[in-house]
Amino acid sequence: MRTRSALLIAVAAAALSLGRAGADVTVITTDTNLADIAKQVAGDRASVESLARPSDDPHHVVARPSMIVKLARADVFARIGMGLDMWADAIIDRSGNAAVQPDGKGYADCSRGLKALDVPSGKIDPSMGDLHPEGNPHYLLDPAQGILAAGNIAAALIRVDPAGQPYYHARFLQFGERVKSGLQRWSATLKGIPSRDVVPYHKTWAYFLARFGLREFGVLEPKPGVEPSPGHVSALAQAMKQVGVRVILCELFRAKRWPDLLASQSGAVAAFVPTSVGADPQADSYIAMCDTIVQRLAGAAR
Amino acid sequence: MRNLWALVALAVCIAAPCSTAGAQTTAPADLEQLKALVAKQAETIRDLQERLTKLEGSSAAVGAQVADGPPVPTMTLPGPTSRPPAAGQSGAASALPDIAVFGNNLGRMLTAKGEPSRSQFRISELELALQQRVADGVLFRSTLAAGEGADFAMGLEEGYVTFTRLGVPGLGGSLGKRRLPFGKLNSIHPHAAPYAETPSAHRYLADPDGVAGNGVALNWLLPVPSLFANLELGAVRVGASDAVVARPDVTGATLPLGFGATGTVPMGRLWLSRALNTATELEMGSSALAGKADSGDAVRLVGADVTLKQMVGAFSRWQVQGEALWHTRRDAGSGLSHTRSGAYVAALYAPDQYREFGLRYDDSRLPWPLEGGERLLSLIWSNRLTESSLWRLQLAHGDRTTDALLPSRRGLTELTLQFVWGAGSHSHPLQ
Repeated sequence: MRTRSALLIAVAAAALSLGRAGADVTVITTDTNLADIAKQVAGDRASVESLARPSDDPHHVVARPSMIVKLARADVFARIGMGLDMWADAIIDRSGNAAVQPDGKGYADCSRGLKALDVPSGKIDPSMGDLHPEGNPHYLLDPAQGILAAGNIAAALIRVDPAGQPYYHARFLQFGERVKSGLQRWSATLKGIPSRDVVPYHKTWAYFLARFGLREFGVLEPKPGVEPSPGHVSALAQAMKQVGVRVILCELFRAKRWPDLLASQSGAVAAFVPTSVGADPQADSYIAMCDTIVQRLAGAAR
Repeated sequence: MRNLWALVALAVCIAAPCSTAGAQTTAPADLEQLKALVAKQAETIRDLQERLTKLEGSSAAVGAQVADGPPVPTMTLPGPTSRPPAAGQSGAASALPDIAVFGNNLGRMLTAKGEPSRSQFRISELELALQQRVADGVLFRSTLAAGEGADFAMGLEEGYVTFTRLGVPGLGGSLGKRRLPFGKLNSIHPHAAPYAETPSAHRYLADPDGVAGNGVALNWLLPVPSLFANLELGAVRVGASDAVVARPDVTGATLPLGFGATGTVPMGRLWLSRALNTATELEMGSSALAGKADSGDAVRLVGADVTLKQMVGAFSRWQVQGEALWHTRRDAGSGLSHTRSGAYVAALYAPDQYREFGLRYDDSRLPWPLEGGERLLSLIWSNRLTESSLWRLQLAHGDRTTDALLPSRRGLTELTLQFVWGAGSHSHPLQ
């Protein structure tokens, strides 16, 4: 009986140790896009969790104490950077975790290495709206920049778990190939749409539009972060009708009031698309989210 | 001439049969070879054409990726030992700290006739905030403030450094002058608070401008699974409050309004929080300050707070918050202790990213030996213009039985208009 008990304990201990070996690294990300990219790179060597929910606007996440607990036990912290997830700074400061501080080995600013767009030149002030001095921070909506983010996450994973380098590197390459394959597919789909002009709600789409040769005709917000006004919507609708702009591109979390008003006045279609993994049942991964965006955009443009 | 034509005709006659004869002589063998050669060349051309088509196709695909947009990031990783550069909060190419300026404009309407600030809309406070990382794990924050109460003399409201690497996981510290972590509101700057008027309990029992202290504190994130448990302990020196009121029991004497201690003050706050689900969080806290007043009286301020917040959507959220404060003063002469209490409960609802509506009930007495208090019900409407600017209306109705800060009146109705503007990069400690 003693032998049997000892055997059972040994088996249980072995199972537990195997389980631990499967996820020794804890990765916390600011949003679900980075969480999915981190999962693709880290595989079963890490557990990954996002601080923001899929339904959140990455600008306006409410920092909460429970987030501090998550970050306090993290080995890697991956953020979008460029001021988009500035709300996370208060979490980092309170976590007391040296690894995830900006000088820590587990800190990954995924915008590192990005050639930023919309970098303001000259003096900027609040009358211009909520501008980001470092440039437009919505780079993750260009699928190709998913590779950049994956590289930055992989580098942080390797710093905290050097033994996993071949594993992370191989998975990073696999992820990159999947993105490249997707780029061919998405590019082919968007080549066929009749008009290259779109009107976004917010300046969220600069990188996406540049990637696929589309143009931002105007923006529903008169200035970044400033609520649309009936006058602005009316003027924009008139201009859209003259040129024949057919698509208003909105994140799923936006209220429908202003896009619907613009659609009714301009004759364009408001396409609501997920911009975070999990925001829509179809967008259950980063690549599936990009698929969904392209399909809905192409569908609205035709 | 005849001879010439004859010669030409002869040459043509000779040449024609010769060429025909030549072809006829090689035809049987070479024709088959020639046909085979043509077929082989045709096959080679077909093969080359197929390869060309394939190459053209793949060039088109590559072009779709690269020529249509910016270059695709390379599939190389940063070196395994490389570390990210130690960057500031923003503006990586600048050696300057993050600098922000905030203005808080208040206008009190419908107050009693004769009240100095009645129906005037003017700047109440201007803040200049600076912050930056100064070393690995060390961050400094400072706020210079010029307030209406001090005739806009610029003073140091906060100036402290925080340490995040003290060798023990979860342990941090702070050194310098700052608004003390007492309850949910004391450490929040007026421009960042969700109200135009601070709740009565904080104004009368703590400090109308917030209790600030200069000293050291340790902050420990307790290792409790699935629960945020943060304990902060410290010792600070607290100066005399700017707000004073006449002491009713001593002719001509004044008494600082609020906490009232000066000198060294031990402080403590236990802050607990638990996520009930992905959208809901429940927070509870208790805080304490203790010290001696100039008169020799021992004073103690104890607080308890509860906050329940739910993030319904990307922008829509609601929050219910309540705080209770107990101010105890032990008279040095008689040895008797006197406790006065105050509380507020507020419900806030934000339907979108631009608007927030609130309802707040305040009930507070003044600390002993001052008499009177305030009981108000407020409606609050905030409209955000940008991330750092907003206007707000707070309409209050109730009774005030003290002139300590505003004129006493039963059945009063007051309207406060607030306009907050800001510029520059700035972040607040979580509270």
